[in-house]
Amino acid sequence: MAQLQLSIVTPERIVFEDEVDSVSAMTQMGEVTILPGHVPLVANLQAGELRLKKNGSESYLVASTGFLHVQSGNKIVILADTAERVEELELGKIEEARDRARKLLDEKRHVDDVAFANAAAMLERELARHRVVTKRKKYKDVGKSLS
Amino acid sequence: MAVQTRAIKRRIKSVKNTRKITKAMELVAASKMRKAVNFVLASRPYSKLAWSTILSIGTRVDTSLHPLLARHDEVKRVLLILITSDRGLAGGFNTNILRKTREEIRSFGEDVELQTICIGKRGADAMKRLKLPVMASFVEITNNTKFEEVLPIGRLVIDEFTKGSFDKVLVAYTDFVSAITQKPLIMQLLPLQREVAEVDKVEEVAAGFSLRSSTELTFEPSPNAVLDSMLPRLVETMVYQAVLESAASEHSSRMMAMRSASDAAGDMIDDLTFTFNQARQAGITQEIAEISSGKAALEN
Repeated sequence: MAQLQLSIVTPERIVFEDEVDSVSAMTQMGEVTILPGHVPLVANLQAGELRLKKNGSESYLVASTGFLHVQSGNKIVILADTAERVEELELGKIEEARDRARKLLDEKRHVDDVAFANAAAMLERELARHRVVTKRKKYKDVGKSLS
Repeated sequence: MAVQTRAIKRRIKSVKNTRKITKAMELVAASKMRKAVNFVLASRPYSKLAWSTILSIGTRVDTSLHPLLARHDEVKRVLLILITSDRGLAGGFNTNILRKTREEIRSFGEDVELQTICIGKRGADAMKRLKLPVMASFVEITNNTKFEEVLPIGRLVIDEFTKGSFDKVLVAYTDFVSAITQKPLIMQLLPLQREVAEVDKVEEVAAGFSLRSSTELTFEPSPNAVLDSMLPRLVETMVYQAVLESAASEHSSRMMAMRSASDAAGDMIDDLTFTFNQARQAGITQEIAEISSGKAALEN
């Protein structure tokens, strides 16, 4: 069966580049799952989970806002502002960052529109990270105890 | 003779000091370059993919759908974003990009109205000398550039273009090829389009076959919503990438310039030391000759 050629890139680095069987991502319209042979598509991404399936095993990533571009020829490009694998994330740090973002949000609420929007985006990103990490934590812990 | 050797000695000392300075500048530039190059290489895949996404969208949707895509039939007003360095002593870095820019400006002809945005002090100075209008000038942002620092430039360009103040926006920057080669380039930023031939090439690389006749592109939630959030973001990314490329080029160009200056100083010191020794030797020989001839005169 044909496979999807997926690359996930952020301005800082290439997060993921490999062939996968399917990709699930959060768009503004809800979750979509892309299988091989999908029509060309461009969609806005929301902060949320990316689920990749390859040979029956799933791996998880967290992406913030960005774009999903399905090209013909089973090529998928995800341009995200930030993206990490679940294994790279630590719950403690996320909670810290989330609290910081909340505080910032309160501070800027009636002060600075741009900073407020930034803080809101930051909070949303941290919340998405938190959600995914808590959900997939058991996998992470297994990985930790093995290594 | 003593006078001559002293003069040479002083000269050697001053060249040695100069070499110390150029050597220090070389090391500073080298460490800055490493950093800048890491940034460039890290963000390149993102902007390359972003660019190819733009191109494939640009060829397949109705260009009147979004103001940033719309091609203007008559190019009357052009905005040029010129990216240079803040400081000199970077070899041919600023000279090359300015020469390229001047050629481009000349090719527009008389009836084109030109505005510029300068990033970097050198470019702004050059534009003033050429008596060209500078709409905005940004300095001190080419070092360790953060995305947020470039955002205002992108916003400004997008706003002006959307308002219809310009028909075309160009970016003049120096592309970082390697530590020894940098290429001054002029890239069309807006409208987000390319000549058909070039698009085909990119498409082929991107998808493995030509997509010109392929199916319509689907947008979620809607073409407008996607383009509205995507295109500005991509324009900002392109500006950011151009600034990064320029910064990496600047530092490597300065490093090379300083290295050759240090080398030249070393050669000069060798040369002067040789002349100094010759003069010293000549002085000693002359003194001996004087003494022995004096003694010979006394004996007779």
